[in-house]
Amino acid sequence: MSGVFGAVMERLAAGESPRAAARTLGIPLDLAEAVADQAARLGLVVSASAACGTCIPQSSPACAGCPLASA
Amino acid sequence: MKQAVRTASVLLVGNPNVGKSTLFNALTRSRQRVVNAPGTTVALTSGSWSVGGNAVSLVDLPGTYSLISRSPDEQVAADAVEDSSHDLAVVVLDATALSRSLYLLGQVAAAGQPVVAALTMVDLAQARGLRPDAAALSASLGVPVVEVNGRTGHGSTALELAVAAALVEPPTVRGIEPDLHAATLPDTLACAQHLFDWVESVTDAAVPTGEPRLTASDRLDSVLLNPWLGLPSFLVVVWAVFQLTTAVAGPLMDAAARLVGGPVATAVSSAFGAINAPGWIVSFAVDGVLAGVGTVLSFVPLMAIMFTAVGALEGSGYLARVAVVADRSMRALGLDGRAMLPLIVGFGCNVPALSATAVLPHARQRLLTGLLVPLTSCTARLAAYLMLAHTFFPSQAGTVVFAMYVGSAVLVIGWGLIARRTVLRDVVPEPLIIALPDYQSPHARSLGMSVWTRVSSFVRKAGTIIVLVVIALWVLQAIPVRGGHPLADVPIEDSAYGAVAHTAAPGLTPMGLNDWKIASALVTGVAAKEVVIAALAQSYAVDDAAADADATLGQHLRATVTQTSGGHASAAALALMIFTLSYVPCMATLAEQRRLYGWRWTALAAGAQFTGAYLMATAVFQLGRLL
Repeated sequence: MSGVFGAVMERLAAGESPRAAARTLGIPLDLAEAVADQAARLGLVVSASAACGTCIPQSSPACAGCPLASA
Repeated sequence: MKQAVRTASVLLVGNPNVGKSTLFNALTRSRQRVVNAPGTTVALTSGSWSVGGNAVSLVDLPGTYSLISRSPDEQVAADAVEDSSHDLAVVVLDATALSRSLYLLGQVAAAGQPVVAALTMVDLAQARGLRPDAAALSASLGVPVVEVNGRTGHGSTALELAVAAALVEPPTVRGIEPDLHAATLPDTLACAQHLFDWVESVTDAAVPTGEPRLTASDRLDSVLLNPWLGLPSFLVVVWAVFQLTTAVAGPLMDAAARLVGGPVATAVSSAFGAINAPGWIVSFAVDGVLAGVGTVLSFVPLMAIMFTAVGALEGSGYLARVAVVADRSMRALGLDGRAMLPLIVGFGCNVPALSATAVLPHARQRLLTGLLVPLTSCTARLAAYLMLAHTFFPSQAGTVVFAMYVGSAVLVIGWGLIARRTVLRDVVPEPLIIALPDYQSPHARSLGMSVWTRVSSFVRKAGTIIVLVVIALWVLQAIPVRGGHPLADVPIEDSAYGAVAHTAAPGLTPMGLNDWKIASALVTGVAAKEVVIAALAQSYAVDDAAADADATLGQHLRATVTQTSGGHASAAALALMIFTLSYVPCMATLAEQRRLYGWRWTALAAGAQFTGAYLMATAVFQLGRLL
């Protein structure tokens, strides 16, 4: 990956938030956020809540005790 | 012959919440109608807009950040932009987030649509110290850029003039090749890289920005995501959560159990006595139903505190950082970093964690992670740890529970390494790239609502399971299998339940736990881990041989384990906790594993897990009693 897209991806892979990546690279925050969003749409980045919401505690007994399930 | 005059079609495109619909209303006023997008249930509003004396059809498309859609609404917007029957796209640019808007504009231009840009939110951008310049932007883009305000109507006439001219002579965006189509992922990626470079060059030329400032989030991340400090910080946070849980929930759990097992049970027994109810009905109500209800109620404080603590960590944005910190450790061991999200969910409940493996891109990664998920210690197991830790290690209960979670993480890593080097050698580790949210204070009201929803859900759903299982156990304890006793008047060792438990108990001798009540609780726990403690409580409730009927469950258990372990109760208790952690997944988890991976993998993993748990628990007891 190259250009600003690749640079933001490198920062995200290093554990930076889009805000921190924008600051590190000296680019507008919304540009870093747009890269993260587009990369998520391409399946290259996961959002923090990607694994949550896979159950509905109100309808599944197995999920009732899960503190991470979407309430 | 008179020829029909074709009405020009103009699309209104933009990111969500940029004032697009406000602008649409200002331009079309009451001349609007709502229709479903072709072949969908997505509602589209179109209106008639007078441009240079001619009516054009203006279509307000659903807001989207990209033409690579993630929802039916976004797909409608993407399809409309790709449709060459439209004459022009008015792309609404948000002056406070220009790069994001420009990326969409670039995609629209690449799709071959002529473009006019409408710049909104200029006042807000100026208030934030930004200096958006429509003229400079227009010069850089090569298409008209008109500053508009849908609320005041400012710029409507200028936009109308720009669109009228554009319908005559369609403008094209400088630096973007129209009809730039991408059929494959590498093509799409190449397009995205090209467009972002273009966006950067436009914003550099047209939008001067200030120096970025270091925020509180950045400062906090410099510690919490530091390669050396991140993991220790996380361990301290988790330890503090368990200290809080054990210090506050332990006494409340005891109080709830005493209340239900004491005054409430006495009152219910007296009420049945007053109406001369048969003994088996009293036993069913008190030892069956009430014992189950008491167990559920005793879990409520624990669940409420855990849900509050984890909810606060989640709401603050810290939980997402845990995935990043853990990812580094996992990758250092050659394991897949992306597996962290489902594994973290597993510490809540294993079943949704198995579903969450869907975030992993490759089938073999999903399989490896799915086999490791049951080793993550779900909250159902926490109730058992807490009771055992309070009973056998009262002064270090929080630390002991914390150690169980560390042990769970060690098991995940250990079994993961074994699987990677044996049956799943072909899994290629990939890094976790996550879009971290900024830190924020958890919102007290939404946190309270979330905790209430989850606790009430637990009481309703898990409570139903616990009560039903406890009632089923009572029935099994009421059925005689030897000794010729009448139904519901059976010494426990002569019941169906006792027969199974007595058969299984000698298998626990190497762990110092040869007792039918413990064996039966562990067997029952295969149905659901929540019922391990409930099954123990009920066994003591119906056991005529229990020396002190007024003793608490903890006191009963301590006396039993002291006896079965030959005086090494702490070592045996620790062995019991380790065995409970990993001996076998619950039925729901096994069923979900079988559905996802088939019987062979499910049986292999469960067998390996049981063997490992048995050997570890035995080793802990045997070594512990030597100390």
